[in-house]
Amino acid sequence: MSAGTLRVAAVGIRFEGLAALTDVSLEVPAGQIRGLIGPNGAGKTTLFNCVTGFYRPTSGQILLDGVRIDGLSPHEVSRLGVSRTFQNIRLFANMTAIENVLVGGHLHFGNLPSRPLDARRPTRGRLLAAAQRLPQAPGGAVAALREMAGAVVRPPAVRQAERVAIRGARQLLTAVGLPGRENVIARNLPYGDQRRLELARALATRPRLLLLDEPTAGMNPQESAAMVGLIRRLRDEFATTVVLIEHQMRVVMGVCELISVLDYGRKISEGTPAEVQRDRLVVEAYLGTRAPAPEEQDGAP
Amino acid sequence: MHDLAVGARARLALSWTRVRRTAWNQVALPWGRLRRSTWGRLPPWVRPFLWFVLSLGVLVVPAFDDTWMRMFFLVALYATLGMGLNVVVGLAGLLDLGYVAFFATGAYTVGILGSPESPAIDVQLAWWLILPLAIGVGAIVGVLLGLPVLPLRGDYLAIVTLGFGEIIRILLLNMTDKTNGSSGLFNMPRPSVEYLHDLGLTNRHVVDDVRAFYILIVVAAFVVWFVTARLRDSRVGRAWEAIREDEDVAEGMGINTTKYKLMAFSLGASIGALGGAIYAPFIDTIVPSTFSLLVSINVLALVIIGGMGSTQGVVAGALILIGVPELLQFQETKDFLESFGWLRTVLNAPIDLVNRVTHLGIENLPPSEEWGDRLASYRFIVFGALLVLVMVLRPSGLFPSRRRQLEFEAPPEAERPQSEGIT
Repeated sequence: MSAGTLRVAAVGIRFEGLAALTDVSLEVPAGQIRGLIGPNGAGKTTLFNCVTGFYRPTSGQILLDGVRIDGLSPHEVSRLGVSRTFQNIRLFANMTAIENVLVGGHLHFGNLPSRPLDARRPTRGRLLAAAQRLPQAPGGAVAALREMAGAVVRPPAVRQAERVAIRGARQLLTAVGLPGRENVIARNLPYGDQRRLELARALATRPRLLLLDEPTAGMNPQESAAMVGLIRRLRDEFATTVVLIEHQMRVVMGVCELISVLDYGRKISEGTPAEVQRDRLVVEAYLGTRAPAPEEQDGAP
Repeated sequence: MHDLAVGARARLALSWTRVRRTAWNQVALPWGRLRRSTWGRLPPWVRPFLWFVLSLGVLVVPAFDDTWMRMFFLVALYATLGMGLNVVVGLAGLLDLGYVAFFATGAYTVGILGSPESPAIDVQLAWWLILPLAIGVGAIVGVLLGLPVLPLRGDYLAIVTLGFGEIIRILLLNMTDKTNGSSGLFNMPRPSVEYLHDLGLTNRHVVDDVRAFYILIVVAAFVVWFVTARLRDSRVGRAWEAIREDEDVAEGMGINTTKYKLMAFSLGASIGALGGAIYAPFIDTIVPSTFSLLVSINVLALVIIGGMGSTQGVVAGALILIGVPELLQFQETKDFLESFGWLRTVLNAPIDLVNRVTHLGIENLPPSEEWGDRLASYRFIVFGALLVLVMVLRPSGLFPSRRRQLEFEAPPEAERPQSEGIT
């Protein structure tokens, strides 16, 4: 899978009058590691949720390699090659490490017939969208029956697919530094390993675009440094574009090639780590503006 | 010397985590190595099979009289239903309180299509012909129920399915022109075993007595077990479990949650319908009141008591939940209790002593011949206490679903934990 280009064009999203994102535009070229920073509540995770299809933006467009992905449901977005990790680790806690990765590889199991994605974009109404998809139902039912029959009977093709999937999952676990831990229940893994496992699971979907939400949250400097190295290596090894949200400046400055800064749902700055660090707006967003001097206050009406 | 002590302590800690982490068929030895028990040395696919055969008492069929066989039939029937509900609740994590609806669907499909008294349709199909129809109708009803409740989660889903179970029962009661209402349908078609008769395997022509029905339900339970076990260890099963663990993330991993939830619903429903289709000829008369909420509750309770997601658990749960209340009123239990006459003498002595000293006037114990009758009338109290006990002692069920290990092709270091820190 080759790395993908992400284009976020003037995306805005409102929740009941609260503008969480306003006119955010980003252009992430293929293979770049982009940092997304900003104070708490700036809308970083909201932007991730928009890109991965969990939220539907109220305005603007999101394109992956020129294909519109906003408004699609998360599993369709995932099929187009967007994957993510979560700020608060969200593994399938009661499944083993390798099963987590296998679930990530759900769409790449055997040589499944790949249904071309419906070109019609879902309309606003839930019911209407469901009605639109109704003609696909008989075909879907047959496919579901066939899939269940295959799982029960286990013809050689399914066995082979299972073997290949398990081998691939093992390789992924090794790639993120969890060799031999495949049968450990995810819940029982130490914190750092859970982050790694989440990364492996995200990679199993064969992403063209990988969104990492605070990959080093709660890690000490050594662990963070290891994670930075890992992210960089994975980007090269798996040929994917990476966007990451991060609070630790050491990490951001170390790994990101370009940084975008959000504040109150708007993009306030963009540039190389050094440029962003010097940007007055960014400093103000993080530290607040300097209190105006008393004489200036006097001058004010 | 110091190093040795530290090492020993570390190993002890390690073996402790091992005890928790490893399956119950593995014995953690103090030196940190695993030794599999005899049970654990069996090939992985043999173990659940053996468990299944042993627990359902398949091998002791001829040894019991009809009362016992009736109990065994019910246990196996509920185990089958439990395995079906387990797909929905244990694997996909969708709390379904209306499972009886599917059970009723299966039974009434047999009744309407097979009973000569059925007012709606004047055909009498053979049971074997109706069986696939009943399973299919069950699957369709499952999808129809699944569609509107898909966006619901947790408690809301439970309430809607609860309502659905009642709706079906009331529908059966009121659609008098199709179902005969409260007078019900009778004279169900019996499953023909003419083929087996011709082969000389049986002297019956149809399945008509408890023993034969027991064999039928055990075969059905075995098929259901096989299907659900295979599905559980497949891409489908993993998708279900992912949905149970975290629906949003599962969706984010490319799983079409709508599709997989519907699949779980319809599979569970068709298993319920299969149970109903076997139950209908067994009791011969089906009335709507048979399909009350209690059936749903019982099936759900046995899944939970047994341990969600595990087949052994379902069978054990069925034995306890369905078997024990029946067992408590058997003549054998009464006879057994009667043999404890000596206990009465032993216990009455201190009671007499207390009565002589104080004026409490505690009654003496009744003769042991009455114990059985008393137990039978108080059986639900005993039963309730037993359930409470199980849930206190084993909160996650008798046989909590244990993570199977993907043992094939496993590199040897898979068993060895790595250092806990990040490198």
